[in-house]
Amino acid sequence: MEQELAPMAGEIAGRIDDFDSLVRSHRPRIFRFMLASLRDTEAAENLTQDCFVRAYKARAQFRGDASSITWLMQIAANLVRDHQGNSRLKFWRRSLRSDLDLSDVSDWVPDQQRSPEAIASAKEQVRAVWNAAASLSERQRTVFLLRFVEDMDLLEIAAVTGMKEGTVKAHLFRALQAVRAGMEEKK
Amino acid sequence: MNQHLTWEQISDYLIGNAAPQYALHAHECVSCRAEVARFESALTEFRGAVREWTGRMCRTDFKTSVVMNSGVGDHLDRLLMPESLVELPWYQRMGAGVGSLAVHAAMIALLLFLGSLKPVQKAVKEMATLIYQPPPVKLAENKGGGGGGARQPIVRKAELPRPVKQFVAPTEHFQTQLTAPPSVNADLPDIDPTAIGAATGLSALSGTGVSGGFGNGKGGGIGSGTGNGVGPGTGGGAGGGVYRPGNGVTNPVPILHPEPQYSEEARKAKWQGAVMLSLVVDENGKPIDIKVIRPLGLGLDEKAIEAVSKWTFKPGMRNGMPVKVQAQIEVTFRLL
Repeated sequence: MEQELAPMAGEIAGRIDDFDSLVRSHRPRIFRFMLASLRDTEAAENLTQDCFVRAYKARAQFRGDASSITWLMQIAANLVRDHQGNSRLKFWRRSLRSDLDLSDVSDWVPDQQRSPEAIASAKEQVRAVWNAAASLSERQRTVFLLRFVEDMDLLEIAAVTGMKEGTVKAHLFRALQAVRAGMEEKK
Repeated sequence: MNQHLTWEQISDYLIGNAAPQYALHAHECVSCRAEVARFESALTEFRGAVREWTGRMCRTDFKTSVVMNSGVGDHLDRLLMPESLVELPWYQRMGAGVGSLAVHAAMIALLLFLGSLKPVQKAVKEMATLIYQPPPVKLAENKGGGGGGARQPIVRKAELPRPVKQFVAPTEHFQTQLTAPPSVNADLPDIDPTAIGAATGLSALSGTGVSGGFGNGKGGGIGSGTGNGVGPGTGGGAGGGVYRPGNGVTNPVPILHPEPQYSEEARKAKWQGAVMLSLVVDENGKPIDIKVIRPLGLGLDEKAIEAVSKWTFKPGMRNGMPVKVQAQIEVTFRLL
């Protein structure tokens, strides 16, 4: 039985020898973070691609002091920040973004053979958290998603975002306050 | 500690940064535990929905396998790099800009020139306004109003189709492997059909799980008569026993296999490994009689059973007919 995380694919002794398998193993996770952050499938696809292009170009700089996923997530978080900060694109992003992406995440609640009432309640909860996440600033949302979707701990998030641990905590606290407010409103 | 946790302390607990005494209180105090569970449940549902959604949206048809480790990195650069991102040297960028400006200027000049031509100006003046004005309707007095026309259907704004949950290849965080169990041992003692027919011990024989040859088929016989009489044969009944793959019985093939969910305890403990399940795939391709052969614990066994019970298979075949087949499935849980 594996109790430790398996060594990252393509990563051997702090070097990236097989970039191909690195892409294969981490692409779904990077895409997940991008899509949850941007809520735009096309932009998420493009930025995921950009993330690996950047990683490939900078692969020589990868030192073994962080895991490859932390390193890739760092690039991904920077790309999300640049993308959100690009005000020239904001108008187009708003007008092109389909409501499909925005409204339907609650439809993806795993049913797990639950009763319709339980599913409806779970959907309500997901919608409240989803709307709360939408109301957050880009930094807060990134930290929130890294903690509660990607299951990273505070130190990992600090490494990915380049923030201090205290700042990460403060962002998470504000994000949870927004979630709480959203849930109270639903009640 | 008698006081209930404040919101800050609950947040710290959810963030994973609570002091030990607060964490203990969150477990022991009924009221605080309920409050924490409410938020934990919402966050878990959110995580599940986002993962499910992004998993379905994630393309799996991408290919990056190019010349790697050959020192020719340029191949991958070109493959991964969208054309719009390729950095051009400054003179090429400038050339493109100047060219674009020139073409636009030329087009505007052409339009202005055309507009200045007399025949064009004349044609524009003569252009009729194509607006249809219906003839005025005379309203007759003392005549009742006409009835309303046939009601037109309300035309709704077209909406994009909602996404359908459809199956795509599973992502890496779980793998399943259908492994064939040991094949059936066909070295059975020769059985005298008449003796079996006369005996009442049919249930005892069918309990061996070798094949379903002893059912109440039309022929009422035991088997094909060749070999040791294991299968039902053409004259045999369609018995209800369970086959094992091999000896002309094909393996069932999973058609729909929804991913198992990670249990909360296992996720927190970063617990990984494989659960080995034993099950029977019935004639309709539904899994029945699912049992855990090799457990993994922390709720993952239940999650594996829950997922596999929703699977659909192409049933195992024998002589072109679907039959119940014993199978083993290894569900591997891996945290990404």
